[in-house]
Amino acid sequence: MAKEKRKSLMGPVSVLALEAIVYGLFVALLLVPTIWIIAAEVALVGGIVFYLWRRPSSGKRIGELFNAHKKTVWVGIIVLILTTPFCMAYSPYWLFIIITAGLFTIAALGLNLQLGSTGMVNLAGAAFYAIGAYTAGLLALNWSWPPWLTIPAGAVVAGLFSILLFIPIFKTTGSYLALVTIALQFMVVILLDNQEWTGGPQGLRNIPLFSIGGYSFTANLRIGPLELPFYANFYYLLVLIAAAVAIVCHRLYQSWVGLTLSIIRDDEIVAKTSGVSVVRWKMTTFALGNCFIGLAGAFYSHLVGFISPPTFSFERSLLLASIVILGGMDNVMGIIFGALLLIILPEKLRVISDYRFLIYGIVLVIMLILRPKGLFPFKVRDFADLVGMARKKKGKVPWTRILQRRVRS
Amino acid sequence: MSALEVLAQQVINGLMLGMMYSIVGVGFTLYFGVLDIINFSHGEFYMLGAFIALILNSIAGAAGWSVSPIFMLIYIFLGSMILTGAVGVVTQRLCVRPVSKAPMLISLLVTLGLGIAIREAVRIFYPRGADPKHFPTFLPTDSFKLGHVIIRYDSLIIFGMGVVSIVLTSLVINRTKIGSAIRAVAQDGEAAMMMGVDLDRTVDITFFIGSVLAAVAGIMNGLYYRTIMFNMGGMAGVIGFSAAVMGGLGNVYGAIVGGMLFGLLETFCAAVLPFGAENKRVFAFLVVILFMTFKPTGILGEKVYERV
Repeated sequence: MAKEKRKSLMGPVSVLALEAIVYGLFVALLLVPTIWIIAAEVALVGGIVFYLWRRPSSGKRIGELFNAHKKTVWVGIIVLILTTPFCMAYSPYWLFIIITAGLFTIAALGLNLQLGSTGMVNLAGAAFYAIGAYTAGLLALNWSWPPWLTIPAGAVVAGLFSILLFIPIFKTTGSYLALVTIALQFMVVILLDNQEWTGGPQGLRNIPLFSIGGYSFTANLRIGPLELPFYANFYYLLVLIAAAVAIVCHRLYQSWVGLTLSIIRDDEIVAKTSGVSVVRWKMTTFALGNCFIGLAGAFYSHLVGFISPPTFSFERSLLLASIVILGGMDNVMGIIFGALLLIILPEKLRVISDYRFLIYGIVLVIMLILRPKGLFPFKVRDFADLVGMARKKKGKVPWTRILQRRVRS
Repeated sequence: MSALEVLAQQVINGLMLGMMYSIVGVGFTLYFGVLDIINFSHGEFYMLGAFIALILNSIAGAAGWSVSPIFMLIYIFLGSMILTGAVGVVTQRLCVRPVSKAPMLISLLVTLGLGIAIREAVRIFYPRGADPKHFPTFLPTDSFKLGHVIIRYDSLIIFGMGVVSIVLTSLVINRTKIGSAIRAVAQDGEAAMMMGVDLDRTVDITFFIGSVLAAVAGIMNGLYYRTIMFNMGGMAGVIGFSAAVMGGLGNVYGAIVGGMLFGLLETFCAAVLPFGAENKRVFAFLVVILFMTFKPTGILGEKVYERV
């Protein structure tokens, strides 16, 4: 009896221990100031990956363990996410970098809807980020809208703007679409640079930082006897928004909408002949994706209070696209990982600041050549259990209904 | 100054710009032909060519070879062309070829990453590489007047160089054996291989030609503006790509037409439209988007029917 109870405790405890170890590595990577920590951790992770590659059975066991204790896994992850500001209490800089990574996660999830799910190339991510940021900034400065209104407004304007552009976007595919979006990106930045009302090259200054109902986010966050840097306020708000966006994206992926988008990505003609309205879905995903990107941009302008055109250069669009591609297209978890990696790594390399973009370019090339499908490639949807379900209920529920109800990855 | 003369002046300026864009665009079109990829690092070769020329010039200065401007021009052009071409072939083997069969997005990002690496390498390893660099003037700096239209001698010479390089390229592609190999691979790689065309060699040579052309355009840019910057490749690459697509991707003459069109558009917008000077590229890119929307195969491209 006691033995059984101990056995049932073993699983959750080891799951939590594994999570804590991974999290500890992550925090150590940020907080240990020498650059050698990167080398040490790369060696460690490389060793583990090599071990798992040679012994697939142990990797499988870990996977089964995590699958068996899903609730514990999620509780652990949520607790760890919530404790992050406490770990960073004395290094607000890294907390700020993590917030930036969170913003890029939101934007990359939006871009993923276009790039990963539907196969629409969008290299104007930074332009829509800029549209969101400038909308929020201008509304706050000229009409003193409160931030909780300007941020959704930024998202909506970015979405509306993408509907305006829809004809050129829909009419082109592949490299042509890439060119259209690149042209758009350059147009937006040049226009922002030259207009009087956008502040020209100086950009917008003194945008009020986020505050809600009189509670200013620039005050240090006090929890009992603890005092956290004021970035902790932004951190918790951002985690809330990012979690909402991630859940929406994950549910979309699981639903028949995700399936529809996959068909469009894999073969547009097949999609058309199966009665999928390619125009409608492309428009929806393009607008929705840009909404998310605009949302991140609007949040950004209330986070730093200063925006100017160079922040939204073509390089930013490339960074967004590389997050989606490196993390793994059409894979929400992969994108979160990719955003953390690609935002934190260059900051960590700041010690060798002169060489960091050189290293960044080289690492990008090597990674893409070695793993052209990204670090976590999307899995082909497996309908095996659906077939079983349909057989059991044969004749009672039509297949398509089951499909619509639950398309699992 | 009469309206006609203003027009003539703008046409001359536009053609100068357009010539450089065309030469960069030809590279994009060639690569797209043989490997079906968009090589976004191409703009950086334009910059690299100019910087290699600068290095060669300072070597010559240190060794005391600066005999005559004509000798220096030939030395700089040939040296930079060969070196840039070699870099192009090597990077193609290392980075571009492994992803040529991958989805378009992957090859796009790989070449972009390669471009970042090249640009940063120049910025870091060239002494004070982040500053604008003065480019030596080997050409006569005076000008003559045709009516009220001012024509600089050096612009004429640079334009002539551009024409020569385009004519030479088209001769190589249309009249030589290697040119017909390039055209064959562009039409159908597998069929060309079955006819005994060495695919690897053809691709290597195509990248050599493309990089050489980029270097020529880069040196022309240096001679014309007399300063070069480590980050001038990005915009040149985007414009070159626009030129290639406007003209019809895969068609060498199309890239030339597209480049000229882009150059003329820019100068006319700067001269004619209000607030045109700052926003000239906005209008040019707007035209690119309109082109993509209503004539996606470009000016000289053929209509493509999608086969199921």
